[in-house]
Amino acid sequence: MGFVDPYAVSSGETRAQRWGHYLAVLVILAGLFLGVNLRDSVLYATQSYSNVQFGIRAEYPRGWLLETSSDFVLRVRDMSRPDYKTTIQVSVYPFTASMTTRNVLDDLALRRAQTLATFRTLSIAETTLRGGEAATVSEFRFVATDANPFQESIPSVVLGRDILTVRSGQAILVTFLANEQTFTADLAYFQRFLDSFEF
Amino acid sequence: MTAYDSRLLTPPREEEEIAPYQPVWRNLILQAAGIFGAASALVFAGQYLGIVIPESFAPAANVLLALLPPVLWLVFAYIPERGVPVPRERLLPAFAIAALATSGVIQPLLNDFYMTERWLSLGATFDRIIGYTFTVGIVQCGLIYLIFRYVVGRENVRTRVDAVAYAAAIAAGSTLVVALVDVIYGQILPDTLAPRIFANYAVMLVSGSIVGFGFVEMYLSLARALTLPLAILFAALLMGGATPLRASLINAGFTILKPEGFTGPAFSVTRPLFGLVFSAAFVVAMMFVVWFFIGNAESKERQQGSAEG
Repeated sequence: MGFVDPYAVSSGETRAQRWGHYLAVLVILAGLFLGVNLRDSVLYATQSYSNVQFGIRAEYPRGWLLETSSDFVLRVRDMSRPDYKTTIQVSVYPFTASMTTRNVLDDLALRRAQTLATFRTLSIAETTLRGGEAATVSEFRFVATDANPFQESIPSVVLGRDILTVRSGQAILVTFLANEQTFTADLAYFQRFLDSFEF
Repeated sequence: MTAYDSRLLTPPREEEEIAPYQPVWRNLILQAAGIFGAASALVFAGQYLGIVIPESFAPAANVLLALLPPVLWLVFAYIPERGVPVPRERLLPAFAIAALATSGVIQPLLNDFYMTERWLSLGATFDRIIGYTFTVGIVQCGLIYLIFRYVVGRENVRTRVDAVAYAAAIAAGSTLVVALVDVIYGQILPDTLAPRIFANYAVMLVSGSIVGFGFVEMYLSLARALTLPLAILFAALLMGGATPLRASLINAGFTILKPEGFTGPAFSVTRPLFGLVFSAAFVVAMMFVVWFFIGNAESKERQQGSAEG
């Protein structure tokens, strides 16, 4: 049974008028859907990164600045942000049989507390990754100030999320950092990065 | 002395036809000219004469500017409408629903869901036109269509210029809310706000008139079913094209300017006057197109009527 618009029937419209309205609604819905697709194709477009040395493959947001260093395997930052640059970072730490993931996170917290203003760990919880592996999630916050005194910028409150998992004697830490005002919205980038991340 | 009977010398006077409906075009020109006049005066005074409204008066001036479109609409469209034999109904509901829907649905949808400022403002011109068409354009034209369909309704469509009359009400309501959001949540100067108000009014008026024309034409001319959806698509495309083109005209170029005789450091400034002129040209050109289509449809109808009669 087809859809019957009660408004059209009660107002005594012709068939062309009724179809005109159906097509108008169809055009609007199709346009809205196309708009969502356009948004996703630009906003969540990705680029591939692979590192043979560490055996890493990931898709990171297109247009973000890619960096590698001795301190971390990979770091990508959204440089278009006016204040704190949203960051995704991958680091690898040695992990022995006598260690627990909590040791790694506590060590990180101690080091961060020395370099980041008002650093505080907010929560630590156990979770399971999509592949069924156990992981530890730690959330923290700190205040970031621009190092350049001529910028005269206001400090930003930054929220961070660490996801730590152990594989082949290595602790793999994936960190997400964003301004607390955009943290929830930017989590979509992190989620997509994690979905594509292979180690 | 010879007395002449004036009836024998002058042709008999034609009885003036009493128009039952309020004329639209003259009132619309007055509304648009009022907003354009205020915007151009503020831009010219601020940019070229160096007259800047003091910061302490800026919030009050901004509120007055935000209220300008609805006040002009009330004075030149809604109040005169009450004085004609057959006034247009549902003008005020169209104005109110446009304002409420812009505040409650359109703004959150564009800012929080489509997040147009985050991804569209950085794209190439063609991508931006397509992007704005299928986000800002289709959302706003969808709202205009729904207002025509469910608030105005076919029973209130009597002449083709009704499309323009209701479009002016929708434009005034929508512009009021967008301007108030700018005033409340953004620190904006009156000479920056005024051109934005005129630009919003211009695109809403043009899009509303085109969607409205598609709507009334379906009932008055028994047009094909594709008329209305094509009108919506065309209006969305115009809205999508006008937004980035205006922005590209306003934005400061990379050239560093140093006017002759100016001793201070060189600077790069935005060009609000370009945007204002673009909006004015856009609204004049597109409303002329709407006027042409309305006149063309009416003359076709008269020809058809005389052929049948």
